[in-house]
Amino acid sequence: MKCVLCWRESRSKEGLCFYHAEAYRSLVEGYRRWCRAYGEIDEGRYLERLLELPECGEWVKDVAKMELKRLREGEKIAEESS
Amino acid sequence: MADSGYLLVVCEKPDAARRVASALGGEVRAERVDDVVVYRVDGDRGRFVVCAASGHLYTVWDVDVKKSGYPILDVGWYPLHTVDRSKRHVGRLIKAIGELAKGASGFINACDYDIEGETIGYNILKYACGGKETSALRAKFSTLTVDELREAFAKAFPNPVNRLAEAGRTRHIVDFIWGVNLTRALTEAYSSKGGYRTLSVGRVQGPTLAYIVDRECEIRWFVPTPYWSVGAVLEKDGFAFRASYVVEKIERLAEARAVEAGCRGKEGVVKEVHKQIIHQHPPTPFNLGDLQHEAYRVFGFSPSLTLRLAESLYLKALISYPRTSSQKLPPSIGYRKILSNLQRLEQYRSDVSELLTKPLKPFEGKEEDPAHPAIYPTGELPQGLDERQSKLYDLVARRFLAVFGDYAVRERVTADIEIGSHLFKVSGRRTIEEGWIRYYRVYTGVEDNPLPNLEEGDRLRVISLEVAERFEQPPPRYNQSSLLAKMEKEGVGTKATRAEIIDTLYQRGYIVGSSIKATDLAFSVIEAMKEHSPNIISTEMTREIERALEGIEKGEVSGADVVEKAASHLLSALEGLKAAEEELASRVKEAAKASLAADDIIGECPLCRNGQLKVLRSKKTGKRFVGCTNYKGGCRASAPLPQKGKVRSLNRVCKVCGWPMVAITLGRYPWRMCVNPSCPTKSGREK
Repeated sequence: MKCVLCWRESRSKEGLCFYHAEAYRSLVEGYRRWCRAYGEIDEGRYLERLLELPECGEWVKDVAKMELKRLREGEKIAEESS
Repeated sequence: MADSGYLLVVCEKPDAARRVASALGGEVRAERVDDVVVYRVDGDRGRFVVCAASGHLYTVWDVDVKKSGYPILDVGWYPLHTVDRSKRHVGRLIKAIGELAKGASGFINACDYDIEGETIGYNILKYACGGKETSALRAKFSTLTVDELREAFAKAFPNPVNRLAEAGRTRHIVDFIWGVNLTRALTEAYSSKGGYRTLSVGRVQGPTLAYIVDRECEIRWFVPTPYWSVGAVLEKDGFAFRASYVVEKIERLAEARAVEAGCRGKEGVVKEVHKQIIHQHPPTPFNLGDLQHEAYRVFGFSPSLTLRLAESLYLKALISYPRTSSQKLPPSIGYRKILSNLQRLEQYRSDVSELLTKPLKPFEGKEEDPAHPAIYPTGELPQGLDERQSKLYDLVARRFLAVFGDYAVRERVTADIEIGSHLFKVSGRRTIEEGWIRYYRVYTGVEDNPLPNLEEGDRLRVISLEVAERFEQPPPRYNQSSLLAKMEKEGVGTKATRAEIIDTLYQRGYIVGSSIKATDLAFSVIEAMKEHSPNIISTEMTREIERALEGIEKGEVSGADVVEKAASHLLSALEGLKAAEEELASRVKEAAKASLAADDIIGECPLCRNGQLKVLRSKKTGKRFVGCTNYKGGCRASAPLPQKGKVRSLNRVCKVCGWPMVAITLGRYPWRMCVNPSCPTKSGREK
């Protein structure tokens, strides 16, 4: 099976290749550091800020885009069902 | 045709042969032997015929040339033109040298005195001259100036046990068997699933590429962490300067805000002032690596360009031999004479006059090279140099002046300033005595940032306070200079080959850009190596072979032993590759396909924000245009493209309309355009 974000073989249960799976791990660890730094930060805001930052790695941005899309879709469904 | 009673002098390059011939004195006649220019010299020092190679005339090749597949371990030395048809001139050279050898009463090897030069000379004497490699004399010189060449020929020495040549020849054999076998293994693996593509990995190429891929991973996995810094602009006697909060990286926003709040409305009080006098030593003389780094830093020259330029200056007798590791300048080169000659050049006149009033002692580095001193200008007057040669010459000449300069004396002032209860730091530097900086100023980048005269107890007005949000930076991508430094640090490759290896990685499509980026192909190859043959990219093993090769020069080990050892490492690596052939093939193919597809993507679609704009071809008309990959999802973004020229994404969007920008290359210079046909920037042109 292919990685959901690129042409490589998927190697994780999230359907990500080795590189994007590592990036996902970095993204999750990064969120912990950001929460500590800002006191608190909304997950969506965190992902949006990362996508704006030129320092942020390309693979992390791929995963952040995917997560943001998922998050927004989840919010939409929650809105519609309430 | 055959003439008797002369010494046949073998040089490495035609320019060197011409200079050697003129330095030998007497009557010099250039003539053609089998269409090859040679110089006949009749003078007080005797009769000579000076001929030149054009680099290597012999190469290592498979004994069984028709054999396909791998492993290939049975190799020999062959005339270059017999294995590479584009090198037909080599056949003429070998024939001419062979003819001249028949009439010679003795032989002198006058190739460059280093591992490559020794190998070139040894092979010519052995194969073209019919076994004269042990009886020939060796002329050793570091510059092509008349005086040094004459001295070298007067002191030409016998060299029957040539360890340098053995080391050079072994290096060629080891590199050949590694290169050819790994390239065949990778190429065969790729071809096993249909299609053909030459994929190469060499003994030094592998670890070098692995450094780049590892760095690329770090960059692409990087999540920037925020931190804050607090700065204050203070003033004393109308002199404003900037101080920074003692904690350079504040990890929490709340803490940064608390510092700012604690300083607001307060004045600064100078608590402590430290003054320190620093004696800054002159730079060391250039060895090749140092010259390559400095030329990259100040001119942006790639290491291979610097080497080419330095060699051209050497062949014009303007600088000493550049392929050296030495950072030392022995007195025997004649400091005073060189400086006196440089004084004839307007741009160095006043600096040299000043230096010549003092005793001359160069500041030297630790690195040594038994074959050559550090790089220095010979004092010959430069003529007919192009712009880049002139720049490099000036760098070498100014560096030479600087190493004889006095220590620079600088004052460093640091002060602790309290604002509220928070401590800030400030530091400044000023030059008291320029010393060597005077001679090398254009290239130093040393600048002063003076402070007002601060004293303990001074009360300072706080003009402004600022809390700045910053982010941790990813490690920088390698550039050619920093990659070269990494190779030097890790001990892979030699001073003569490192720049060429970097060039090869570009040519093979493994890396792109001046800020070096690994391609998908590089990732796939390195990934496969890591899993199945980690030795190929292991720095440790490359270094081990490198050490063994150095051991040959020192007489600690024989060439045959080193080849055997390298071959055994290689065979185990090949086994790993063979076992993973299929996986390797599919991985590399996917990478090649993906990199082709990625070339056509020019950026995110500005209309749907879901797809990407891609260069496509109309099935109906065959014309190319830009369309969105989200066409099936309903996005109809499209734009026409010029039908000629290469389209390349600029990886940025138009500042006016937000569509991607591309560069179209047709002819020499590319032009840039926004792909949006309705972009307001194009409206003027339509009118």
